[in-house]
Amino acid sequence: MNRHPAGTIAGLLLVAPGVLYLVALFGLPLAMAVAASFGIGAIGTRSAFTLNHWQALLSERLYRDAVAMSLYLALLPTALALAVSVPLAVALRAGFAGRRLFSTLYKLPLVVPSIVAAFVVMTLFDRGGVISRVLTPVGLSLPQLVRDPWAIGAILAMTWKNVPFMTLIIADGFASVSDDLRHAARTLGAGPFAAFIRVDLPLALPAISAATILVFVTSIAAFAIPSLLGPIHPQPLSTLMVENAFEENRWGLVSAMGTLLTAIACAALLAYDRLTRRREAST
Amino acid sequence: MFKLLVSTLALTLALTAGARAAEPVGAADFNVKSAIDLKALSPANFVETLLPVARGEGEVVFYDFTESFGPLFNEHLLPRFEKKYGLKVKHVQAGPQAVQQLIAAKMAGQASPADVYFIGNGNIRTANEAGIIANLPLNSLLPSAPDLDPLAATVARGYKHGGIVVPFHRNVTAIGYDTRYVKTGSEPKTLAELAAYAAANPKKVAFTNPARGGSGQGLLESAIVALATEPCKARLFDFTVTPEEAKVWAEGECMTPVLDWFKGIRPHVEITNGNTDTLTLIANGQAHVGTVWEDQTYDFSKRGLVPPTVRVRLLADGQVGDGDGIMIPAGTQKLASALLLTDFLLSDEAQLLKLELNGSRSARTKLDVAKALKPEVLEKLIPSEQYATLARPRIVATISSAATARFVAAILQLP
Repeated sequence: MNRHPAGTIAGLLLVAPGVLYLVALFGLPLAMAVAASFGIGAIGTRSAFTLNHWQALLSERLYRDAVAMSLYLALLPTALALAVSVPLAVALRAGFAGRRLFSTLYKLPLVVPSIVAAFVVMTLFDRGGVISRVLTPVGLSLPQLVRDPWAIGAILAMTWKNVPFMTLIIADGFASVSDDLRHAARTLGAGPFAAFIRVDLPLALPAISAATILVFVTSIAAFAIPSLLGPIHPQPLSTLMVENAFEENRWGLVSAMGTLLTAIACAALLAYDRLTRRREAST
Repeated sequence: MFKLLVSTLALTLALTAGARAAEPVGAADFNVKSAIDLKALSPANFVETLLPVARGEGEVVFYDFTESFGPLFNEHLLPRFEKKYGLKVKHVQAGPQAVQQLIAAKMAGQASPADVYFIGNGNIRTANEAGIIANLPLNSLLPSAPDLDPLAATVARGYKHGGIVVPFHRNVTAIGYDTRYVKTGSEPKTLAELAAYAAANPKKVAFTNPARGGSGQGLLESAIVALATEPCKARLFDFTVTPEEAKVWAEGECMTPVLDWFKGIRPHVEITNGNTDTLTLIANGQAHVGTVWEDQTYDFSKRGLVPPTVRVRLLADGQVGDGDGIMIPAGTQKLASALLLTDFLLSDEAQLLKLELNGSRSARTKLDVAKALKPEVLEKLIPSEQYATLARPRIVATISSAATARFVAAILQLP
């Protein structure tokens, strides 16, 4: 079947604004950052091709540790948020006394900016903070949650921030599963747990994986919480980027770090896309 | 007769100096558009030459790289300037990234979006190498500031700019201590005493990670100045040291005594994520002594963010300080107004008000701070005699960066 040329042109015209928008606001800056990571057009230095920034990023321990810390601070909060969000989404679907109030309250972290969340944790849980002042007179003390080597305070704060976002998406996924299917499974002898595992979970999986990927992608470049609550060393790439940009003027190296973070995020999205396609092909 | 001759000679010299015409810095011609003959401009004819031109230029745009000076400019200095000259100023909190904006404007062949820029010293090299700073000899041109410290007026973080950026703000890293726990007189006064205090009072000394905050990097630099051997010290203020040479310096034996000192205190101190983090621990009563900036501590004390019992001092080994400057972008279209504003910001009135309100020091050497400020203000600042004798300039940026990287590898990284 031949497509009418006018229809093709109209289609191209319709998508053109979106494509132009992506090219201008995402593609072009990204291309400039990639070029700067190879020394071309980096601010503050003579423009010339070099592999030095990538060599430093991939070979120096400071930066390798930073990549590992970025992944650690993306994976753990994502996994913890997932572990909380799935049961929460199921509970919200099931209904319970006070559900409406709870449905509003659990979303509160969504409107609290990350930097505010970080300051709340600092104020409450740092040495000499509010909780510490309450506990000290009764002979109790908190574990170190700010500047701790395992970034527990940062991970908990990021998890707290991500749970409502993840829950909203996952709850929507569960809501789209027809009650008839679950009831059919129950009439065929499946218990509530088996029906959940074999019916609800697989059907809600696209929403769960989408939420997971989105949280991972935003967490890997998180700045405010790791910067204020994270360990002294190593720092994630996001905080090193800010320091190298505004303290050291190493824009080429900063561009390489930014490119690497973007590549990791893109790889996660591509993996998600591939998984989704494979699942769609198998059903 | 001899007295008369000397007086005449002195007067002639003074008049000659006062009337000395402006010469472009580092070039044959000025790189800025001007409605007046800049080569005829001097401190003696400064205001009378510029004011009539400035009145026809319209609103002058003042970029400010800081997050904390906004109230000082908006509520105090700029209104006074506007009242004095009848000129309008628009203050823009543009951040350090404004340098990139000014470079982009120049590359696009556009006029500068700013007419005056309060720029961080760490960005001056980038700005000047990109050609966005007007090559005006501000260090000798401003009638309000004839007594600028020559080093501060021509060099920034080891970069010799020759006077095209005038030092508006000076600050110094210091030791902050809370007199509720450490009585004045018994506070650590030397690096050795600081190490001994940390060992005797575990986790009561807060030390800002040098990679995250200037007060920690300041202590690292101060320790280098105090502890490095003499041949090593020779390069600390050598402005030609390249990053590669600095790396060799920092990875060699020069850092050994410095790192040994830090290894000694490492188990006993709380390393923090920034200057504010250190002050928070002091405010919470968890740290009794900490690495601080004098001006930030003064500001926090004024706002009640640290207890009024907190005091600052300089170690007898000397502690380093720095500052930030005012530049006029080469692409300004309002040069006369820009020059008048720059001159006002360096005046006695502005510099003393800045010290009183922000704890920000001056590069003006003849300001009588002790006479001008009230005792309750002075007690929150480093004692004047300490500031005069123990404040040191920061070492060159290349060595500082390389030394910080070595510190991270040797002190912070796990084996």
